[in-house]
Amino acid sequence: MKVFSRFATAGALVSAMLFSISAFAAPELSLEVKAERDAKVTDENGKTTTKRISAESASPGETIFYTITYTNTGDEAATNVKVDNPVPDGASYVDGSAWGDNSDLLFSIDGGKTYKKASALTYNVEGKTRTAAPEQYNAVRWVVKEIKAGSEGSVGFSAIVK
Amino acid sequence: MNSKAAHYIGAALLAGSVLVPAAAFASTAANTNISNTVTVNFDDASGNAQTAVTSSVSFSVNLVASAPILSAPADVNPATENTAYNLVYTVTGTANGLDTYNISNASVDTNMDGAPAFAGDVSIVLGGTTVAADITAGATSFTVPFDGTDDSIVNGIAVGDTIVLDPTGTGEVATVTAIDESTGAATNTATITVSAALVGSFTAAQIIGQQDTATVEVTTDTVTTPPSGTHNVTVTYTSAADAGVTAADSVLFTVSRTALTVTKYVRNVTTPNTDGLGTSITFDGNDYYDSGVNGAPAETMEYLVVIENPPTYAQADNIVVSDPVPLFTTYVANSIQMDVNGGGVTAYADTADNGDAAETDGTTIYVYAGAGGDDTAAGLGNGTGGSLAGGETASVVFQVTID
Repeated sequence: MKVFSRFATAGALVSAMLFSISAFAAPELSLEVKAERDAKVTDENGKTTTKRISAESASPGETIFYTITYTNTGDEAATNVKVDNPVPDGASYVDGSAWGDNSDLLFSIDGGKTYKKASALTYNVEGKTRTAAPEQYNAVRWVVKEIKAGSEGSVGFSAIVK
Repeated sequence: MNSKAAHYIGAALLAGSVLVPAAAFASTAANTNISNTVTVNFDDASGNAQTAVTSSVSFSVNLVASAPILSAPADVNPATENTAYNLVYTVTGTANGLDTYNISNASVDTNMDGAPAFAGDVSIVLGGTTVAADITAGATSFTVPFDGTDDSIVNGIAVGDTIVLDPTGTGEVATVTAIDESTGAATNTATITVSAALVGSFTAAQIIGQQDTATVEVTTDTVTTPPSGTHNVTVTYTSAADAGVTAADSVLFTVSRTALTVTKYVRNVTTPNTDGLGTSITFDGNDYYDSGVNGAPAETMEYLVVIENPPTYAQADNIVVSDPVPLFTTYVANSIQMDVNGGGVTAYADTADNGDAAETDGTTIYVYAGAGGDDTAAGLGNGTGGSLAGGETASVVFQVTID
């Protein structure tokens, strides 16, 4: 009886753990977006250096550096990850500024309805096909195959305040 | 505006545009909230779609100070000593938001005892925003970025204000009749309605600047050595947000001293007085007096009016002598004569508009005194006055009989 009861306890414990894994194992992404700008800082010796600081406010013509950091806080890999970022109203995409860890980069010129590689972004004007210019991009997508549990990565782009 | 003033303004505008290259072209209004939202869609390891996650970050747009556009009040010539003149400036904002422009005054003075005194407006506040979405010609309302506060005042622009769309380009002037900021939180834009359909079309991010007037009062000083001196007044508008951003205009005041002196004398033609008389002057062989002359009814009296432009003073033009015939006397017809600077006495007909230098209806005598005057212009008293150079004198005589 005594032995049985001990086994029974252990068995219950094991099954509870198994149940927990099969029911709750999932990827869980946490996301952080930073907007930064380069500010000129003059030290006490009068030397001016450029420092990248958080952009609480910015002037027209200034470049804003957006950094998106994702972390998989879950216990399973996230797959087929699509990070979508419409270029904000009042700002325009800076040519060649998008970057990302282990990702493919696509752009949209229709507000995020369709995304294509930059070279495939075309539109028609009076029957002629033209390739979109970077300032016409109004959304950026990074495609990340897999984010392993517990790992993180970053993507980003720059925009100029109109 | 002389060419020198124009040059100064040109330099000021140039300096402004070098300091703030972005503001003059396209811009987003100050206080606009620019928000960036990222959405991540993903699957789990087995390919099952998971709930998307999003994250946002936002910042607000700064005011970029920009030199306002100033009208150019005309130069003042001639200006009078110790006299106040108002320079009324039409000032148009070209910045992407509300700014105060402090007004400062300076003067370069030539042959003046001192600088002019300044009064009037010391600052002007102008709102500013930008076009949020393209505006087509004929529109009476359009959107601008929301400034974050729903108070029917968008970046300093309120109902009743005059605004200029694309002030550095097309420059279309409009009057604001309504402002709707109620959708600001939802759409990040506010709607401005204007009193008349817009003639031009405008593109997103073009500047909309408020236009208003500022008045600077300039009180001239005294001329050191007659006849005239100058105050070259420069009025500068400096952005309160950025003291390096200024616009300036210069106005030249040519201040002339009032030059003519007029003295009146009289003599009794019928019975010349000899005793108890005041200061005398001799003209054309007769003595005239400034006081002490008397006469009996029916006697003829002759008045002498001496107009003098003192030596070194500027030429006086358009000199018109109007002299009412005294009460209880009757004008002697065709008795007006004039000598200009010793050139000889000339008699004139009373007839109006006949081309000579005098006319009268017997009640008031009009003499177009000095050189070159005439009564040709139609109507009594409407003739063209003559001129006297510095140091020249005109002497006018006419007769009356005592009633």
